[in-house]
Amino acid sequence: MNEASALLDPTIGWILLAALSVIWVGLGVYWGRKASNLEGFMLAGRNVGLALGTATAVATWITSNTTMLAPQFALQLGVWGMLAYCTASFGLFLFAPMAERIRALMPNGYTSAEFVRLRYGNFAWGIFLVISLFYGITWMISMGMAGGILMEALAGIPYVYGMTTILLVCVLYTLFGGLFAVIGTDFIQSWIILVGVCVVAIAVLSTVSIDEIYANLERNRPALLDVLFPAAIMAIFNNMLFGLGEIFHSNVWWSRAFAMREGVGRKAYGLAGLIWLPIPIVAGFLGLAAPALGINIARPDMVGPVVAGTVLGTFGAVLVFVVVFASLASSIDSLLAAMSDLVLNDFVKQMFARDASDEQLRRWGMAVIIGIGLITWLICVPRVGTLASVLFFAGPLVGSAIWPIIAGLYWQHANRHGAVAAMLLGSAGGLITYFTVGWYAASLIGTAVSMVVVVVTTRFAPQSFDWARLDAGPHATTSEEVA
Amino acid sequence: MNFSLGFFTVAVFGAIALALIAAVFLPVLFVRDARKKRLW
Repeated sequence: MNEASALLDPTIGWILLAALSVIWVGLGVYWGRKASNLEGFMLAGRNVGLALGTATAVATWITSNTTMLAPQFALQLGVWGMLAYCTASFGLFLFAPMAERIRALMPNGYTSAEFVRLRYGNFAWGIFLVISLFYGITWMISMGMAGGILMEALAGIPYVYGMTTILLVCVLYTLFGGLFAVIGTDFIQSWIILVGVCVVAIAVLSTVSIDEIYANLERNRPALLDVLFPAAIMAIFNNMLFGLGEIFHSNVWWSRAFAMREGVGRKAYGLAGLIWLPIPIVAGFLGLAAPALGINIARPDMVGPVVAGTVLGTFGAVLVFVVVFASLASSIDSLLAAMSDLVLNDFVKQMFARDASDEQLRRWGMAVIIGIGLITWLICVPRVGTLASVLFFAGPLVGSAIWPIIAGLYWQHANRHGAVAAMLLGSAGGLITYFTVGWYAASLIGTAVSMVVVVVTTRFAPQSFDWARLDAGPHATTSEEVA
Repeated sequence: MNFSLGFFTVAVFGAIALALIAAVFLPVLFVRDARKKRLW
């Protein structure tokens, strides 16, 4: 099989892309009718139930990386690679109790940056906003580029057209429906992805037995079964800490904590972790099955789709196309909504529109969504390959935010200067490690440095904090203004 | 030292089973919330 050529006929690809675009935008318009005010648009009315809350967390955490990179990870790092990837679910498990606390401390809150501003002051807020927006925009760019590249590889749709379509579709339905549309479509997308990966894995197992796959690996690629595969073991820590940092700091997850009905957050995030956990293993298994299926892998990043196409033919290729589209859309829409909330609530509202009405703020919010979409598109158009790897720089940055967030939520005496120092020194230490040692240790060092700074400053220079200040509204004074 | 065939089999089949259960569970949860008018 020639895997360099597209798996699907371009005509089928275009029909699928058009059909999925119309369905998603239509659903966005349909659900958008519920968003009658700003709170509805930004936080889906703060009344999201368990089913939709669980599904949105699952869908958002399943990016195109989960379905496409997990098979590649398994093919290159073996069984450990498969298991390392699924440790990213720990972020969802550990965020479950935090979601409940966030909702309890800030029942009227909007963003993670708002928490940092009220808890640690304006300087910490500025640093956090830079880390958060840098991470958000690099994630958006990597998803946009992945969309274009995958549409081209799967169906021969030119990169710019595929990338533009997927960005445009996500911008349109987020614009019409805000978080209502994002969460509604996330439910459908999470279900499609779950069913899609299971169908392909079962088809693989009906073609070649698990014994044959194992025997083939043992005979031809024994390193992939090695319990002591050093690079793979290091990848576990990096993946887990990157995942923890991302979920703990990012407004994508905080906005869902604010949006869920009281008492739902803990259960929804816990269930989401349980549902997300098997996906990288099932997807990774496709990579390990490739040698036993006689597939000669020239492009490891395409191993998942090639396996699906080999065992299920055109149907498999269609399935992969739909799953990939769903994985991309579920992450891009969430990023658009969360980043626009961040920019609107923590920048526009603070700087230019303190007394703006809900209607004016909603119009600002829509402009911000279009702006973020446009910036992402402009950066994605030239298809600079190295840009996608910029996302890995963000690992130590978000790792450095883990401890300031945990301490800020749970320790009444966490030191605000310590939080600032933790984010700065953690980021610096992580980035130095990234360039001197390697990507696999960067998040670990960033998190460790940040942890030491937070723990030491809280222990030796404790500062008292009144939790009630977190629920004092968007224009409340920060801890340093009070001090 | 290699991962055993037993471990590999349990990991793969366990993950597929968990994903299948989730694929059934999510719509059931959705219907339950819809009946109780607790979707949104």
